[in-house]
Amino acid sequence: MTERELLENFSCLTDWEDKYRYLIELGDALPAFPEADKTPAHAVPGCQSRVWMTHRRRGDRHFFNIAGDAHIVRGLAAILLVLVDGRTVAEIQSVDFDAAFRRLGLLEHLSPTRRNGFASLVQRVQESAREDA
Amino acid sequence: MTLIRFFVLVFFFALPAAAELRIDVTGARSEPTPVAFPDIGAYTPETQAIAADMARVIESDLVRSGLFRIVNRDAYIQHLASVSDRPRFADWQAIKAHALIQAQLDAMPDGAIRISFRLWDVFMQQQMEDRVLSTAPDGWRKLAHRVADIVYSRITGETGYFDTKVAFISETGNQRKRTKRLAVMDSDGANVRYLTDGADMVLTPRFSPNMREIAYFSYKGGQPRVYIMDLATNASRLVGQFAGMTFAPRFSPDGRKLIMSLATRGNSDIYLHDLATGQTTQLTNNPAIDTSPSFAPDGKKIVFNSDRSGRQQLYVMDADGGNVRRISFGEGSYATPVWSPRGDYIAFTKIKDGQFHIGLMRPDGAGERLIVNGWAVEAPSWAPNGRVLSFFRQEPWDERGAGGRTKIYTIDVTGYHEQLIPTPQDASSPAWSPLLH
Repeated sequence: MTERELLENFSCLTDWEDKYRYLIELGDALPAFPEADKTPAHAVPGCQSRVWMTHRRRGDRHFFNIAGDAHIVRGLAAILLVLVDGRTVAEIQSVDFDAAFRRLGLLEHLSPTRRNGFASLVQRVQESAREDA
Repeated sequence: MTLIRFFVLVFFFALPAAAELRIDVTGARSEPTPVAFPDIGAYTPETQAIAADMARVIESDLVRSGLFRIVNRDAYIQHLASVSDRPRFADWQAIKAHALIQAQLDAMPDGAIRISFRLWDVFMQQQMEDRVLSTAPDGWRKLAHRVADIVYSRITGETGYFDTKVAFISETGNQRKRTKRLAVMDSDGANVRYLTDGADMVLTPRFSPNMREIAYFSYKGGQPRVYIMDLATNASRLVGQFAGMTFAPRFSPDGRKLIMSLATRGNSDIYLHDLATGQTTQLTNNPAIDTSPSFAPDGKKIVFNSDRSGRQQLYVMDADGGNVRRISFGEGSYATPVWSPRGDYIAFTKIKDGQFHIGLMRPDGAGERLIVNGWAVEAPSWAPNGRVLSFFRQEPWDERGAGGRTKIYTIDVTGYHEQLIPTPQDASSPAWSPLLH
């Protein structure tokens, strides 16, 4: 899955309900997240529902695993991973996530709390890469 | 008389097509060529000590190339006391040496040391080299690398690469809190010199073509930007005054420009920055992340990676940004392309099915092959002869940040002869210098 494929898929879906359903499908396809990793240290603060993130650097590249209680969060996380997984710290810091999600037509449908929660997750991803570069 | 001449002629032409000693470094894997290398003749205690050190460096260079082995010195029949002794080829053929290095080290009246050496083709019974090189005594290590370069070059037909430096990132500490310092070393890991103190994170060092500077990416002052360090003074300067972050720098072949990614308004494109005038030209304009640009040696083309088609793939464009075409089409994603100084290959990192690889392809994308793989292998950098690459490996590390050691290796374009460059601490992101002499 790539951002371009996401764009193509989302652009085929005109109403929000279809987009929402597709988002949930994406979230369901997230890689398994070990229960043992759902610890306070991995919890992402500032989210409406519970979200966890683990991060690992391999050489100069950063890989992430994300889990969440809410379907929509998992879907957003799946898209986030398309944008950042396997990237260098500079590349991760250079991405404009707002613009990317706006291109997909997703941001305007999220509630302000959801948007803030998602911003916290993005921030956590960028910080993790930065701190561990 | 005529009959004798006839037989001489028949005998001469009946010999197998006589070929002088030659190793094809691009060919199939072959056994290392046996080289006889008797002790370097020296006649004072001082020169004897230096001669022994130089012999170790020369031998290490030749053996580490994977192309040569030194025939056990206990087996040598003839004792060569000086560089003017004539080799008895039968004695060297008997111990199956293909080449013979005969050398002598002298102290000069002005304090310099002088090495005189000859390289012999044992089977053809011919002299291949006869050279005299000198230096101040503290330059003995460089002198040894030059001798090894001449031997390598004469036998392979390729330029040597031993008298070179490698810039790299020296790493210490737990993976969760790694300290990274910019450093340089000789190509065999000797003479490590640290250029930064580790207070700011540094990544992706690149030598300027004249070797006076290193461009690198750093979080100096909390801002991720590209800097250039002057190696004579260790002073760093920020490259340009840009609103966004700059990363992935490399010099143009003439050293006058720096090509890099600039992220403005959340979008990364490739820019060319003239170091003298400060003029900056945008070369790509795409909503994707365009990064890791690398010039062809003639300066006419640039390879870079972009996710404009989806996953990260490799693209080649003209130096003015025109004529963009995709050259990689395989599965997985491609990163860190770097054009060979010979122009014949592009090396890259590839991530596919959870494995990292270092690979090579022709500049038109043909003939992709993967020469290294591992949990994390990255950052290919060419030796100046374009026949050997350096890269780094990282071992896996655990949740607490233990393990994950990084080490720098070299490998040749055939995918054989992988060799560790020993470093005092962990080391990553090697960047090979041009040839020093």
